[in-house]
Amino acid sequence: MALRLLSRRQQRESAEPQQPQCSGSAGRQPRPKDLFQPAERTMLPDDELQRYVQLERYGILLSQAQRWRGNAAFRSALAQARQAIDDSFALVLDGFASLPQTINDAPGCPEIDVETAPYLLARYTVTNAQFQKFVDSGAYSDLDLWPRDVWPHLIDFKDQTGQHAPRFWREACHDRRLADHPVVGVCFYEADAYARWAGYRLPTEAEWQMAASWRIRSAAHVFRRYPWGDALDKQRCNIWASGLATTAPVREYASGAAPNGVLQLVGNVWEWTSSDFEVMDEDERPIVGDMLMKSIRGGAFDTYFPAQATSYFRTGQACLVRAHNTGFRCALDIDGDDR
Amino acid sequence: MSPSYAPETTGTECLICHVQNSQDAVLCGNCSAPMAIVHDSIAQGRSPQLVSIVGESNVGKTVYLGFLLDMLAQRAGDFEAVPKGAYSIDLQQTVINHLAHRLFPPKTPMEANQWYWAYYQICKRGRHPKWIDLVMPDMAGESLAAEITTPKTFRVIHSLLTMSAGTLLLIDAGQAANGATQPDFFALKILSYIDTMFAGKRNERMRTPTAVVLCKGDYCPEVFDDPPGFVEANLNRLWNMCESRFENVAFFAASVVGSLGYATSGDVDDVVVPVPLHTALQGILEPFEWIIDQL
Amino acid sequence: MDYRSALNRAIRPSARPIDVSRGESSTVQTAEFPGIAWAEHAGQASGVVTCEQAVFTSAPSPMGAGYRIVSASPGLKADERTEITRRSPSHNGLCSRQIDAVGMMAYVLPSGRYCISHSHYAGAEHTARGGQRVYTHAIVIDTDAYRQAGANPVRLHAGLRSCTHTIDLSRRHFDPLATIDVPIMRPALRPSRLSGERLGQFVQLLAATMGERSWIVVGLSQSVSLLEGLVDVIPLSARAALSLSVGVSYTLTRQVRLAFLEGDCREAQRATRGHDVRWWQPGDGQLIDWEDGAEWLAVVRDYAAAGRISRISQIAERLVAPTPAPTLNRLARLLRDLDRVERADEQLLAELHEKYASAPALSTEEGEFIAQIQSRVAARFAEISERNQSRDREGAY
Repeated sequence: MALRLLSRRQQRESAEPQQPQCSGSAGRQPRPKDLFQPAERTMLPDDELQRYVQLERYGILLSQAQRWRGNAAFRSALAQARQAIDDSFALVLDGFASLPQTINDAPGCPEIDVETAPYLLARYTVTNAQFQKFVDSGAYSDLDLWPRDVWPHLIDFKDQTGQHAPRFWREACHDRRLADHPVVGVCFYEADAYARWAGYRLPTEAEWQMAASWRIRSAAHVFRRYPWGDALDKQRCNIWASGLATTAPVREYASGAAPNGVLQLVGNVWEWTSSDFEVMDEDERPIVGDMLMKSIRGGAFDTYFPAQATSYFRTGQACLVRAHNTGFRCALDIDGDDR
Repeated sequence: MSPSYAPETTGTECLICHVQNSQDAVLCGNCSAPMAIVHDSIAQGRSPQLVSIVGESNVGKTVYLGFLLDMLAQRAGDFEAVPKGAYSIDLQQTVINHLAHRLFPPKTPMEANQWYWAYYQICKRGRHPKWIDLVMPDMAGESLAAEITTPKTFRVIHSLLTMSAGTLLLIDAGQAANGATQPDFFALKILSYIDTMFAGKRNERMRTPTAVVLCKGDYCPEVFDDPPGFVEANLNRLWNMCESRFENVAFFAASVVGSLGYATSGDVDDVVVPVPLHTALQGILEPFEWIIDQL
Repeated sequence: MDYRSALNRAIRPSARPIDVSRGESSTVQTAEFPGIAWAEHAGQASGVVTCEQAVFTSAPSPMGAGYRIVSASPGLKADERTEITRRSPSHNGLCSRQIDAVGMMAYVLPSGRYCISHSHYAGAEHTARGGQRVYTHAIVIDTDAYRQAGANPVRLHAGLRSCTHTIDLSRRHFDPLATIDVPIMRPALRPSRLSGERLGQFVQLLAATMGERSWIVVGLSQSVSLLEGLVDVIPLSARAALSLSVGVSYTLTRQVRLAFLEGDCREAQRATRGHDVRWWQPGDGQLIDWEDGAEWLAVVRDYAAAGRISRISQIAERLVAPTPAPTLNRLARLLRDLDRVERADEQLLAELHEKYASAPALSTEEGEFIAQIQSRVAARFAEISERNQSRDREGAY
């Protein structure tokens, strides 16, 4: 679309909303203003238990069940929470992850093996619809969810209209056509806050790698380059070569699932982990960022190099960056009884 | 006793500077453009068009062009592209191999014989497929700067800008967002140079399509929200120049690097090496597509 | 092999014994050209010449980043700045990739002044992108001062090397430079006598320099040691327009007459293919001819072989006006005749006397030569006459 300078001022003064004259990139989530279709806000019931169910804070419901024992709907709510977690989380067996210590993970580069305990990992990344509940619950104003040193930055966690919400939303609402797409435009702290708000946590980098590479304890000591196997198949994931050029709904690419049914570990969006990003270059100098960097894993729809969208590729992102291609999924510890 | 390189026999005219070279010449003796472009265009029976990618040193011209060519070769968007000759592939190979190993490619020297040139036959698919032969050189930012400051320092630059059917002007959005004035002044200078070459009358405006590309969007993600608004706010001299003298201009934002780290030992004397941790392509194809639509 | 270390070895054979088993040459004639030191010039300074100076390299500044003249003395003219910018090597622009590699360029500026530059690597660029940053320190000399300083860019480069400086590139602002006083080095020790391969190289290089074509000389470690002596025998008028580079990567646009390359030359081969640029590698059997000046070349060869090259240098220094090949050939013939006078018999002296009694002189130098010949012929006649008389007297006794 050419910007005709002669008409540029007139366009800006026009009452009618105009198509943007210039594009930044195809495939970014925010739609042109006039095409934005806001999702409906969550109506919250007065009853706290019902509210938690409505907000899908199932992790909290399970871990703090005793709070609602006197509530008449307690048993059904608990059952619903258990069912939801059964449906949306998958068991990752104990195993270990070999984490390359240098940025160019050539054969022979130093690695460390990290043992991982069994845990539950969300089958899907958190969607816009799910995150809408977090926003509607007023979580951005609940300081208990945010580390004290992040409080000064909370003011920056705004959407396109200045409301507390992911970066590409408008008026604290996502585009309803993207309800089942992964939420993006959230920094590490927003991801972490959501996970804790819902009663979960973010996976560690080693846990994520274990889930994607499926390196279970066995005599073979094999691991998978991709959740589905060792060969790249761009039909099984959403990376640049797949040609979609934008996010896909979180339940797509079923053929790319890990053995336990977890989807889109590779591709679609990078995923925040709870681990600090700590690697060195080939001269053993540490790689640092402008600020603390957290490990992100898995690649995204705009990842150009297939080698950067694998189960073992390590990279990081500054923890306050709210990128268009980075989302997250939740993890949940298995308590002793459940094991 | 400066030598002349007069050819032994008149042979082939350089496509860029129109100086005669011998049939055997690999590079033009006057401007160092590869003569393979001429031979290939003769073989194709077509006259290629030239698209210039200009910008300050270290703005990202090489990386942008390398990725653009590689994306075209991979049939990104509606495009289909065929490189003409191995020399056309060298740039994308260098850029892709470096970025894949999380390194930025080496700096482009000012010596024109060491520049990369790409000659591609490009098809934009659609109801009416459009085939265009394009030549795109990867110029050194310093050579550009020297030429626009003192015209005829580098004749090849002058020839290239004179012949360009379209121009992609790359600007460091991160620097501009930080309040640096240099990107604005450089852009103003180069547009002024082009405008002077065009030598239009006071009320005439340059029609050659000019895509202003705000690069390094990873430093300043806000640039993607409203590129023209960003230019008007942060690069006002450029904005006004465009408005006054350029009729066919569009603004874009682009980014290649998804996340940037820095390798440093912490010693004061140690050079801090930027490390492109992963790629996340945004806005590479759009300005090019716009230019192609204008041709 | 790094040419600098090879040169150092050639200059200072005691630094490390030559290891023939490693393929190193054992035929470097250190005794023949001991003085031309790339790293350390053996000559002493005899004074200074005041020059304008400029530093061309890559550094960030408020005015922009990348390669450009980051600082210069105020007397540098705009067109001179442009030419230095156009010619100076940029990123990775030296032949050798070794961090201690150096390069030299010498050329005439559009203003007529002469530029000599010294280049070396200066670590990674501020952007830390691949390749090595090149730092070039250029001096610009007025024409008269250049001649008074010996008009030998190789020797002046040695002077520049002894006083070159590297400005702090970590700063973002560079103060203008003042003019610089560059030591004028005395000529290094001249060879007593050239012979064999070295004599051939010397004459070949002279032919290359004096001809119309451009030459690329490969095998820098051997050839550069001849350069200082070579320039000394080039007529002063030609020296004022000499353009040469040593150790700097080759491009056609630099337009140098004589380029000394080392290492991987594929890029230069690509650039020169189909163009009128000749390649010469000492020992490759190719003979460089300069037919127009064949007689002059022959005289230079004979004088170099006889250890009398300084005589040619003295003549060359006096050739201020343009000296085309026919003029040089005439001078060569005069020089030969002047030599013949010394061993001529009466008959030959009579012939020479007759030949030069009314010979026209086309230049001052020719006139002086003719006068010398006439004078020497007369003197030799007198000597012979006296010898004959004394012989007659002895016979009478």
